[in-house]
Amino acid sequence: MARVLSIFALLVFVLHVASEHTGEVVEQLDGEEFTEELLFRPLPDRKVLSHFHFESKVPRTNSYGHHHRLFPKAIYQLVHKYRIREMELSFTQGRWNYESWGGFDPIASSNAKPPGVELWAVFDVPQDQVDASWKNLTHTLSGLFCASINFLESSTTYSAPDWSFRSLSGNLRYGSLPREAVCTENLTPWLKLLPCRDKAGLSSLMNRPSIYRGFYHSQRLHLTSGEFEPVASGHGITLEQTLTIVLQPDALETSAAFSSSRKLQPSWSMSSLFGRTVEGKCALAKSSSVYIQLEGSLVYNMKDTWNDIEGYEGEEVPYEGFGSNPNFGFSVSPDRMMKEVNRFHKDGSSILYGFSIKDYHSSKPFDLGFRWKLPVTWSCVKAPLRASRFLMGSGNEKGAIALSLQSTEWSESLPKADNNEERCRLRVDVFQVVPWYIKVYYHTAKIFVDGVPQPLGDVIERMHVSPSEDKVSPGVMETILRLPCDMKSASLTLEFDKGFLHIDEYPPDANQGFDIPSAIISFPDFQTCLQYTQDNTSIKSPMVSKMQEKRKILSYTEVLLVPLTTPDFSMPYNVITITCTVFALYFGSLLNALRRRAGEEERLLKSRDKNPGKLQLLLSKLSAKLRGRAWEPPSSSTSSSSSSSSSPKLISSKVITKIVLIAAIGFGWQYYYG
Amino acid sequence: MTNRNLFSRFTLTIVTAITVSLSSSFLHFSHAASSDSSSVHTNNWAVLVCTSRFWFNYRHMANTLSLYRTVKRLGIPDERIILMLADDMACNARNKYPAQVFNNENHRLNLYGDNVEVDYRGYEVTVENFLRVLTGRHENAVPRSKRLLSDEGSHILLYMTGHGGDEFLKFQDADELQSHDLADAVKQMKEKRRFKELLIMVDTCQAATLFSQLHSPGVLAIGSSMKGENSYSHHLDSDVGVSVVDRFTFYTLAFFETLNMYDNASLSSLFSSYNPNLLLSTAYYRTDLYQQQMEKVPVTNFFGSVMKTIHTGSAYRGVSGKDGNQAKFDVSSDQSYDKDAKSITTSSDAEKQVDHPETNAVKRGTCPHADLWNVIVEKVQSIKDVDSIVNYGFVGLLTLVAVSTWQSS
Amino acid sequence: MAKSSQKSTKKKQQPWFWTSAVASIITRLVLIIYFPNTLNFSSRPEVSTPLTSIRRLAEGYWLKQSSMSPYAGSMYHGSPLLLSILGPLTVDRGEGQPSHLLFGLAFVIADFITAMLIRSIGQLLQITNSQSLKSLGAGRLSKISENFPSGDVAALVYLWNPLTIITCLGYSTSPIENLMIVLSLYGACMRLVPLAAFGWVIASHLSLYPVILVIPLVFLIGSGLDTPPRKLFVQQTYGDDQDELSSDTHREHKGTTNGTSNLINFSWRRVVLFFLWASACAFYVLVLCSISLKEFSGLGEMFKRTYGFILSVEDLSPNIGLLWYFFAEVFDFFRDFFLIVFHINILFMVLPLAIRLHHRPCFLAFVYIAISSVLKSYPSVGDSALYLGLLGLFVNALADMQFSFFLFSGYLGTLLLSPVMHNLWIWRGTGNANFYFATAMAYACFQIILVVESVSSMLNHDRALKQATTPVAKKVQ
Repeated sequence: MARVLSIFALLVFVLHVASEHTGEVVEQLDGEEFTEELLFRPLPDRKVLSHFHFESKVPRTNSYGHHHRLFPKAIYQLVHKYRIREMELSFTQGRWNYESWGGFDPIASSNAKPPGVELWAVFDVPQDQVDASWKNLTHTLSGLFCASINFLESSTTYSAPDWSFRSLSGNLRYGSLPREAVCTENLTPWLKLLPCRDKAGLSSLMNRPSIYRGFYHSQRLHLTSGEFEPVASGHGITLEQTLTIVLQPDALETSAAFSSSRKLQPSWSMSSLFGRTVEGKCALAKSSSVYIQLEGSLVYNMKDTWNDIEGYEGEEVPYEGFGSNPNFGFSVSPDRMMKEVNRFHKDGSSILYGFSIKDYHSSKPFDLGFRWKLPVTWSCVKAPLRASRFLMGSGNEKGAIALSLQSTEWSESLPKADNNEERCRLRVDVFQVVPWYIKVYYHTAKIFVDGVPQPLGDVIERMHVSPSEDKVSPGVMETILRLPCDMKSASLTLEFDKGFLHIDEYPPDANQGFDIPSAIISFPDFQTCLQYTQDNTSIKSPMVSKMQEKRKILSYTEVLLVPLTTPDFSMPYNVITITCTVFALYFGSLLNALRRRAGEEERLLKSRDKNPGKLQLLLSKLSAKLRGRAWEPPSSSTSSSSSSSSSPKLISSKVITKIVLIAAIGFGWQYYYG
Repeated sequence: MTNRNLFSRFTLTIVTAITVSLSSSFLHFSHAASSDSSSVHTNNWAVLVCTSRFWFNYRHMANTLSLYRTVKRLGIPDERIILMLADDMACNARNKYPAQVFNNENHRLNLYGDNVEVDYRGYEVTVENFLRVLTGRHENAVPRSKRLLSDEGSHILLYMTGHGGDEFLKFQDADELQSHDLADAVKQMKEKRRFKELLIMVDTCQAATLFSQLHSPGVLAIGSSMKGENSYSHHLDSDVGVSVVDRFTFYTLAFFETLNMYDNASLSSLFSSYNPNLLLSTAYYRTDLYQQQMEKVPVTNFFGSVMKTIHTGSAYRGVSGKDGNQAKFDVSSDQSYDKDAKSITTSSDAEKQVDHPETNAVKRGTCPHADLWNVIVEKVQSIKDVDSIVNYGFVGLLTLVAVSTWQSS
Repeated sequence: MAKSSQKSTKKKQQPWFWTSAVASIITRLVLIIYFPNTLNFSSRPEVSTPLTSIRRLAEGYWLKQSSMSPYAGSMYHGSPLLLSILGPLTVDRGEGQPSHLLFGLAFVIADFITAMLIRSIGQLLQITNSQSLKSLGAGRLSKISENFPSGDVAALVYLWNPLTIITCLGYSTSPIENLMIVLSLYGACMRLVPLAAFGWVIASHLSLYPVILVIPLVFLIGSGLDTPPRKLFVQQTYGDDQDELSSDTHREHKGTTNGTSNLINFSWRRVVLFFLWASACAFYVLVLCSISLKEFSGLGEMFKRTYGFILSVEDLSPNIGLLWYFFAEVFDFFRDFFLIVFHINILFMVLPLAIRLHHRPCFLAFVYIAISSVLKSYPSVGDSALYLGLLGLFVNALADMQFSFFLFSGYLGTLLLSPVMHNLWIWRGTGNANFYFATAMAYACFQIILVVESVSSMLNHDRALKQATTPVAKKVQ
């Protein structure tokens, strides 16, 4: 007996150990991995873009199991509970400046987000359950990130874009809260998803005051899961967290020596930007590296500055630390340099300097500095068209939304770019969600190209409108415009009426106005991708591969603030009582005017009581009514008319008194109900 | 022989593991049972509410945050604090110090530290949500971090600040929390055994009137001012530009700054620390619903926390084994999910989605005399240009009417 | 003799009547053609309600053209027939503005036809009135009532009513609803059963409220036009028993056309015929609607979006009614209760009025129209224009109406004040909603007083008739 039991025990133990060992093995051959990267890029308007990029992967559950060393459990449960195929959540403060910070590069098109909260998710559930899982997802996220994302639960706030937002659709839901505040309490849980939260590694740079002092701050969480792919070859869950900040380095020592018309760009360092330095990498990170990106136009301009300073004839830009480079210098010599290849427009090619922070520790902190030596001015590559949106009209009754697209120098270079067809047309996708209390008249859509009104047919290639349902769903407009490449400006206008809400539907600060979330303008003709030469391909950087993958150019328009008329919040009781009084006035006075005759008839009948019996009189009257013929009264009834002689004058004077009386009664009665 | 030894050792280990796990689970169970039967003070909760919006009410948020910091310092963990902030001051555009909130003009202490966890903020802070939190009536989807998961062994600190009046407290300058609502909510909590002792601390004008309807046992109330009194702000920070803290909260904090987790200063000492000349209002204590006398009760009963940690040695192994085979089970279930999900998605493609509503709408429109209608509809399906048909039909109707009229006249 | 006098009056009246009618039409056309946009009444809340606004109709037509249900998105709440008849007029003519001219013409024509119908109704009324008075032997009363050709007065009141002109210029579809209502009345007066049925069905299809007109229509069809109360005729016939046969037969022979005889036979045949025609028309209209909505959601949604939208007051945008602000302010808990109360308020009065005024069906119809245009959920001045025009039919009967000057000045004041208040509230932002609501409430009060006063004075009129005729009867005896 004991033997049997012991054998059983052995069996259990062996199984146990075996399972653990297999787990170990799996983890070795492909386990979870976490990489942290940081990209700096000097911006033309004396600012610095710093872009944190953390990525953690976990293999599929059925090959790897449920236990994770690095991957955040919360996200894993989220994905599995709601069967999320892809999700992106972004908290943004400030507005990305497409003019001076660029609109064409991968960061601009993937990390420039609308202010407030934007959330979209693709679910792997049947169509009829998508909304339910979206509602649950919003609640869970609001608990997870300390934001009121659960306002996206109500069907008036989210929408199901058909085709314009992303190619894959159907199970996609999109919602945004333009007025959501973004602050520390949102960043902290986001950081808690990292293996070493903000205690070690690059994330230890994130000093809250310095981050939130920035001009633009967007914290983004993007996860894709292949958990529910039918084929077993699908990858697991990939969680990509990026934080994009635009900071102004406090220019202390700039332009001290230089007495030139062109001011020197401010030099900066990590400690001057964030007030902190990096003590070593996050021990759990597979790779942790810092990059400095110089844009193509910047490199181009620097080249000609070298050429006119000293006869510098180097195609390559050298990167041996200080001195050797006439324009700028690093405080730390970069470990590698990657150069962009096959850029299809000719001005320069951007350069990426990579620094590895493997061999830094608390005694030798990593503090990357960037110093300008020569003043240089350049301009970023802008989006094909400059999109902006504004309101027209005054007053609180109606107005119009205008979406204007201005050509940039990039789109002016277009006809040369592709002359294959005789009339080149630029494709622009517009996706715009309008809340229901902005009642848009879609039949008033007008399109002006260079100020000339155009028939819609030959500009709009495709248009899908799902008009707004009162208190049920927002209005969604998805449009594909084909604009001529050689145009200077185009604008699309839509008229709308402003709705009137119930008194409970106004927010506490109703007079501040209501927000129309920003529209998404995308240019599918153009793919943004930066192909870099990997000189040493040993380090595989997820951020660089993100930059290399093709994605269509997006740009968000402004958020519109629409003032709506407000009722008087203070007097529902008065309105109820007074209105009911008017109704009582109607009812009572009319009834009174009608029943005046009845009294006369009573008097008449009373007077007639002496002559033959009232009962049979009524009976005969009734039978006559039933027979539908006229009732022949006894001849004495001729006296009725004479008896019913009532002077019309005093009645009319009575009416008003009765009206007032009835009004008072009705007032009391309705007040009792209201 | 060695085999025998191995066997015996394995049996020993297994048996011990099982017993330990069993005992631990039994411990849990017995603990739960005890908390059901007799109400010993097992845990602490705090609900901190700042009910007023707009920048010039900075001080209310500072009050709430400083109390938040205090109770955290005294040991209440973050998941047991429900923090409601009606507006965003820290990252407000008017805030000169982004992501920082100060309650003193010497900006020594940033209340909005690196890990503040706001549960309800902005428009979410309404009377409805507040009462939901107290009474625990939430939708199913509301996450745990937004619920007050207290049991009958818990001491709850409820701190509210904002603009108040006679028997009401304004939320967001829009709607009001009446003293009746508060009393009813507390009564409900008592009946649902959601607290053992409740300390309500209110820093508004005429705060005492808010307690007038309370009648549930075990409730202790502290108000910053009597009826007819205002509770004033303490001082103005010229850098921030608004006044940063209220007097009552300021002196409450001054009292608590001297304490640490292990002090046991009594509530009476807290009460006696309020000086009407400094407050410019007389603090009000309602203690008639509370049994113990104040001298015995340490403030950490409400502002601190009691941590019972049950150490179970080798619980992890049992759990891991369980998870292992649960993992297999989940895998299978996942695949099945994939299958049926795939089938459904294939079945429900675009044109299905299109023509579904039409058909059942036709049904709806024609339920009374379905067969006739269906015949008509099938006839009608072939028609291309609807409007012209309708117009012709209408003209036909007109002619019909005209002819018949002519006939009948 | 009556006919001849009528003819003479008509000959006398016609020149100035026709000139003024044509003048009103010309004013409309001039305003439409030369001031298309300077005075845009189409956006005035007093003129165009969510049910009758032309922009919403255009939006619905656009949605339908782009193969969506016209009711998708709570924009359009009218009938699909209007959509397919008026819709093509709204399409963009390239220069951006939908062609207002065609609309203007359509609505001017509708107004003119309405006026003509009202006129003929009035003439009928006058003929029957004089004849019935003669049959009562109250010749002097009839002589009194000759002096005013009520039909011409009513038609001119309708044509020259500024409210009508504004409605016509505001391109709201209420002229068509008015036309249908008047058409049904006309058909009933002329005993043209199919016409009456058609008008009634279309009118109640366009806007729910004319349904209650079925009662006056049945009275009209069954027992002819307005007459003094039957009791008087009864007395007459009684008083004349002792008379020689000749006069009796002669009176009977004359009575066939007018009210004296039909109180003997309330012609059920016509009424049944009317209902048959009405059901046929309704069926036909429903078939047309289902055809026009066939690839969309069908009739169910149509009823939900038209009648449902009327009954549950969903659109809270301001109008001259009372309900918008009430339901914007009332607590949601009480919303359904008050919806029921306010709609029952219309129905409550239907039966008492029918009992009391069954001998004057046209006046009954006028009272119903007035009541429903006061209490309907989205009223507009077009409805008031209709019942004010009909009021002109009873100038003789209502000659001694009280407060007429007071009511006139009240209408004028509120109608001048409400645009000012609307401007202050919506455009300037200096006033608040209560300003506008106050004018709406005053307007409602004036309308109510008008209704009450007209009813009571009509009753007084009957009483006066009674007084006047009884001595005659005595004399005959």
